[in-house]
Amino acid sequence: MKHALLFASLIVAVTVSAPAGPAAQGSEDLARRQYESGRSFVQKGSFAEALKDFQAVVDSFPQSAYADDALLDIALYHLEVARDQAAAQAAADRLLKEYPASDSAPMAYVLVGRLTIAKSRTPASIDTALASFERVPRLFPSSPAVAAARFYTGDTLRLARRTDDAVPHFHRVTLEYPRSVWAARADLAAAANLVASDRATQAFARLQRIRQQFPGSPEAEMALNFNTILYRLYVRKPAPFAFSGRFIGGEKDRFRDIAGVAVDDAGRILLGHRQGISIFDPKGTLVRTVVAVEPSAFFVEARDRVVVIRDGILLPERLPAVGVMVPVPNKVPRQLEDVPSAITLSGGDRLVADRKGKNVVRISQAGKFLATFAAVDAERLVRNELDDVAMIDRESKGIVIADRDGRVLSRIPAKGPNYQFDDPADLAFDLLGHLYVLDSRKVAIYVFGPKNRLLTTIASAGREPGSLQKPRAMAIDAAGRLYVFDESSQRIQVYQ
Amino acid sequence: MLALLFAVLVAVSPPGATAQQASTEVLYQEARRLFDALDYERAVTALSQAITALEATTPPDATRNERLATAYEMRARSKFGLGDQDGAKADFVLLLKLSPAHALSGQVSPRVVALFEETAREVVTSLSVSLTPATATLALDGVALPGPGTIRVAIGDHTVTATQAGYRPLTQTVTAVAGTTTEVALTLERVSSVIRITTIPADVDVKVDGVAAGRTVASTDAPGTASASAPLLISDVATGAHTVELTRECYVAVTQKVEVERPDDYTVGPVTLRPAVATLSISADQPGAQVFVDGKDRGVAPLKVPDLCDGEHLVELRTPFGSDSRRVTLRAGSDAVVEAILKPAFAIVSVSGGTTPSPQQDVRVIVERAFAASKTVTLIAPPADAAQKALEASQLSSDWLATDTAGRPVGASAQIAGPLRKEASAKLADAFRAQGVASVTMVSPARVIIALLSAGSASPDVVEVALDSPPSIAAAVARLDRSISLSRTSLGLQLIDVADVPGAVIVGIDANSTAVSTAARVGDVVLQADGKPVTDAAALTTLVEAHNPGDVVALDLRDAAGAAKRVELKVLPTPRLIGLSEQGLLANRILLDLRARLAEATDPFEQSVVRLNMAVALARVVDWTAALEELQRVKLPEQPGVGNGTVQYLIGLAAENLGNRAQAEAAFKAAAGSDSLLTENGPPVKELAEAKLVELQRAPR
Repeated sequence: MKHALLFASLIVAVTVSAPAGPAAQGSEDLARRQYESGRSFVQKGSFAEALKDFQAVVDSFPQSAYADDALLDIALYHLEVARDQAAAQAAADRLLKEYPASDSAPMAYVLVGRLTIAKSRTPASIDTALASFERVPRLFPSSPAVAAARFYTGDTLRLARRTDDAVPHFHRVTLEYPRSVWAARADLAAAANLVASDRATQAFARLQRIRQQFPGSPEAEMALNFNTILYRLYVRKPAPFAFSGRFIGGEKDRFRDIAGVAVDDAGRILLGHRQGISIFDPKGTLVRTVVAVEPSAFFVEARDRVVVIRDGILLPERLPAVGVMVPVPNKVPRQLEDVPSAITLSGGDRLVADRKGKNVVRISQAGKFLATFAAVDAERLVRNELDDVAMIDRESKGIVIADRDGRVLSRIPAKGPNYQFDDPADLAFDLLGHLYVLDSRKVAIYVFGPKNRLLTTIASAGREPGSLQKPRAMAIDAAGRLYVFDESSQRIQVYQ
Repeated sequence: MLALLFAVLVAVSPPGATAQQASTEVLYQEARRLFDALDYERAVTALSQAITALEATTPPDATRNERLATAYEMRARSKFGLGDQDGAKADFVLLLKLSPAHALSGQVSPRVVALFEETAREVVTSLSVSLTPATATLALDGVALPGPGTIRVAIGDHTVTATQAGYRPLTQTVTAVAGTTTEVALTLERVSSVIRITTIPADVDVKVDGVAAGRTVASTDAPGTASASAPLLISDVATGAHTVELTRECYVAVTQKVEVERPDDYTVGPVTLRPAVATLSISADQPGAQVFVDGKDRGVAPLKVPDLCDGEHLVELRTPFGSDSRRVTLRAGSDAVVEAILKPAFAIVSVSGGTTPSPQQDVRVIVERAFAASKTVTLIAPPADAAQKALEASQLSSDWLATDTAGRPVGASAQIAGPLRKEASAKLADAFRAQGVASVTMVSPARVIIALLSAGSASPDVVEVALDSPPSIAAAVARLDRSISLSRTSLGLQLIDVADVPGAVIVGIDANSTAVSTAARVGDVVLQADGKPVTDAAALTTLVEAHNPGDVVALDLRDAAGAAKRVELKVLPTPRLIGLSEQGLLANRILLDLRARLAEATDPFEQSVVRLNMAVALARVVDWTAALEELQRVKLPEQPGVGNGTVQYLIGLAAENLGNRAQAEAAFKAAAGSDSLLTENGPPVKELAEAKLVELQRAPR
C-alpha cells in the first residue's frame, strides 16, 4: 500500500506534452483518454486495469504524446507494485530507446538507476546507478525529475552506507526544491541518516517541518511515525513504552502455538497460530484468516500477500505452493523441512531459516535455491529498510546482523553492558533501524540503536492487565507501536 | 549715376521678388526726391525707370498700383514743368486708365489741374453696379470691388463678375460710355444650399453627416477672444436632413440637425460649446510618488487635478521602486479617483527567436497584457521604436537576453559577459524609468520565455508561458506574485507531533526563548494555549503566528509524570530567508520587492531581515559584491533557525566568490560553531560550513 501510494503520487506528477499537430488529433484524443483512464485506475488501486490501459496506449498509439508517459507508468508499476525488475527494466529501456527526448525520459533515467540499485549494491552497481541519476540534471536541467535524481543519488549513497556523502545531496534537494515532495523525502532520508549517525534528536525539527509543509501527505505521515519513534526512545522517560490498554482481537479470542506476529505495510496485524494466520485491522478487529494447519512461520510480501510455511513448503496466497530443494555437498539435494522463520528482501528474493541445515538460504520467488545466505542456525529473521537482516542465533543466543548479500555487518552478543539474553525469541526493526529483541525468559524487550548500543529496556513483567508474563512474539508498526503476544494471556497486547 | 546705381543694385541683389521690390522702391524714392526737389529733368528720367520697374512688378496689387499711379502723376507734372504738355497728358491718360478715381495730391498748378480734368473727361466715366444678392462678391476686370454702387471706370469695355456660394457665378461685359453713368445690374441664380456655421469658441471641428467639413477659425474682428468664430461655410449642401457635429477637445460636443428644404442659406450658430472638465484625485500606496498626467508632471501624490478634459488620460505615478500606469476615462463634471498601487516595473525591450503570432502584433504588447493581472509587478512594453533605439544605443541586438527554458543564454546572449549585462540592464531600465528590463524569446508562435533582469543584475529570472493558454498565463502570474514572508513569530520551542499523544510535545527549547527560565521542560506536552486546546504542533504554530512579537502566550503543559503546569512565554520574531539555490525562485523580481521594503523599513530587526534576504537575492543574480555589503550591515543574534550563523555562512560564500580566502575562512569557522539554519527549513549551516572549510583546506593557497 505504501508503494502504491508512492506510485500513485508519481503518476500524478507526470506532465504530458501537448499533441504535435492537428492531423493526429483524433488518435491523440483517444490516447489521452486511455491514458487518463489508466491514471484513474492507479488512483483507485486497480493496478491490473491500469496496466492494461497503459499498455494499450503504448501498443495502439506509439506516436502519441502519451506513449512515453504510459511506458514510464508501466515501468513504475513493475518496480514498485509488482516488483518485477525485468519487466520494469524492459519498459524503461524501451522508453529511453524510442522516446529519448520525451518529458518522461528524465524519470526513466531515475528509474533505471533505482533498478540498478535494487538488483545489486556492489560498488560497480552503485557507480552505475549514480551515473544514471547524474544524466538527468546534465541532459534535462529544467526537468522536474532533477529533484528525484538528486534525491535518489543521496539515497543510493545512504544505502551504500556512505552517509557523509549522501548528506549534501539531500541538502541540495531541500535547498533547490523546497516545495517539492522530493524535499520531504530528502528530509526523511536525512533524518534516518541522523539516527544512524547517533544524532537522533537533531532529526526532530526537520521531521516536524515535513508535517507543516506537506500536511496530509504520505511523507507527513511518515514524519509523524519517525518522530513518534524518536520521542519514545530518546525523550520519553523513564518508561518509553506503556501498555495502551488495547488487545488485538476480540475479548474472548485466545491463541496458542504461535508461529509469529507481523505488521504489514497497511498497518494490519497478522498472528500466526495453529489454525492459520489471523489478520486484524489496525484497531484490532479480525478481518480474515488464512487457514493453515500448524504453520511453522509466515511472512508478508508485495501487495500484502501472506506466505505461510508448513513442513518446509511455502504456500503463497492465491499462488501455487513452492517446495525448496537445497543442495547438500556430495549428496542428493534435500527438501526444506523445518523452517522457523522466513522473510522476503526488497528485491523479491526470500530468505529462509533452514533448521536442519543450521543456516539461512536465499531462494527466488519461484523457490529456486540461490545461495546460502548465512551460516547461522536462525530462530528468527527480520530485515530493516536498508535490507539488513538480523538473525537470532540459536547456538550463541546472540544476534547476527548481515547485509542483504549475507556479509556479516555486526553481532550483538548474548551478553553485553546492561543486558543478557536468556531466551531471545523474536526480533523487530522499526522504520529507523532500531532493533528490538524480545527475551521470553527475561520478560523484556531490549532496544538497540546505532552501533548496537542498548538504548533502553522495556520490562513490563507483572500480573496486572497489560503486564507481560510469557512474551513469545512481537511486531512493530510504522509508528513504533509494539504488538507483543504473551502466552499467558494468549493475546496480543499493544504498547505505545 | 542713377543708371550706375541701378546697375549696381541689380548686380548685387539676389534674384527674386523681394530683391526686385527693394530695388523698385529705391528707384521710386529717388525719383520722388528729385521730383520734390523740382529737378524735373532728372526726375523724368528717374520716374521713367521707376515706372518701368513698377510696371514689371507682379502681382499688380493695390500697393503697386498706388505707387504706379503716383509715379505717373509725378512724371506728368514733371513733363508739364519742362513744357512737355503732350507728354504730361499721355501720362495722365496712363494714370486714369490705371486709377480712374485718382485725384491729384498736394499743391498743384491750376494749369496742371485743368489739363488733368480735361484728360479725365476724355478717359474716365461712371459705372453704376447693382447686385442681387447684395452679399455676393464683386470684381471688375478681375479686381475685387468692395460692393455694389457707382464707381469711376475708364471709358470702354469692362468685365463685371459676381460670385457667392450656393449661386451660379455671373460674368457680364459692359461698355462704359464717356459723359454718362452706365448702369449694370447683376442677379445671381440660386443653385444650391449653404450652411454657415459659427461657434463660440473658434477652433471647433465640424462634421456634416459624419464627414469632416473643416474647423472654425477665430474671427478677424476679435482674434484670440471667446467671441464667435468667423463663419465656416459648407457649400453645395443637398436638400434634406443633415447632422452637424461640433467637437473640440475639452469641450462638450454639440450636435445639431439642419433641415435643408430648398436651396438657400442656412445658419447654424453661433453655437456655444461648454467646457468639459473633470477633477481627478490621485493617491498612492507609497509615499513620495511623482504624478504625471499625459506626460506632464503634476507633483507628488496625494494631489487633486481639477481641470482635466474629459476623455482618456494616461496617469502615471513613479517612485524609485515602482510605478503605476493606467489609462483613465473621465466624464465632464465628474470627480474621479485613482488609488495607485505602485509596483516594480520591467520594461520589455526586446523580442527574439521564432515567429510571432502575427506580423502586425507586437509580442511585447501581448505579454504586457497577459501579465496585467499581476499584483506585484508590471511588465510594460515601451514604444517599439524607443525600445529599438535604446538597444542600439547600448549596441545590443534583439537577442541580447535570449534564454532557453532552463535560463541558459542562447544566441548573442551567450556572448555577453556578466559585467556588460549588468551595465546594460541598469542603463536600459533607467532609460524607461523602470526597475528592470525584460526580453521575450519565442519558442513557438504562442509559447514564449520571458527573461527578467532587475537593474544592475546579470542573471535573469526565466518564466515560460503559453500566451494562448489562460491556465498557463495564470500559473506564470501566480509565480510572479508568489509572496515572500520575511519573518514569523515563535515561542522558541521545538515542538513535534507524536502519534497517540494529543497536543504538541516539546523536544527542544531555544536558548533565546523565555521558556528557559520557566518550568517548561523537554518532554512536556502542550495541551492548551491561551485557554484554547492545542491538538498538535501546527495548531500551536497557527495560534502563535496570530500574535505580535512581545505578546505573552500562556501554555498549559503536562509533564512526563502527568502533572499539569502553566507557563507564560513571550512571542519572539523569527527571521525567514529565501532559498539561496531554490529552483524557480524569481530572484530579480524579489530583489525589486526587497528594495522597496527596505526603503520603508524603520525597525532595525526588519531592516536586518530585509538586507539578509536582499543579500541572498543579490547572490542569486551573481552580484556578490553588493551581497557582501548588505550582509555586513545585518545584525541578528546567534539563535536556532535563521540567525547570525546564517549570516556568517553567507559572508563566507560571498568572500569565497570574491576571492577573499581569509575572510571566507573566518566566516565559515564562525558559522561552523553555530546552531543556525540556512533557511528556516534547514539545512544546518554548521554542516555546510564544515564542508566548506574542508574544501578550503584542500584547495591550493
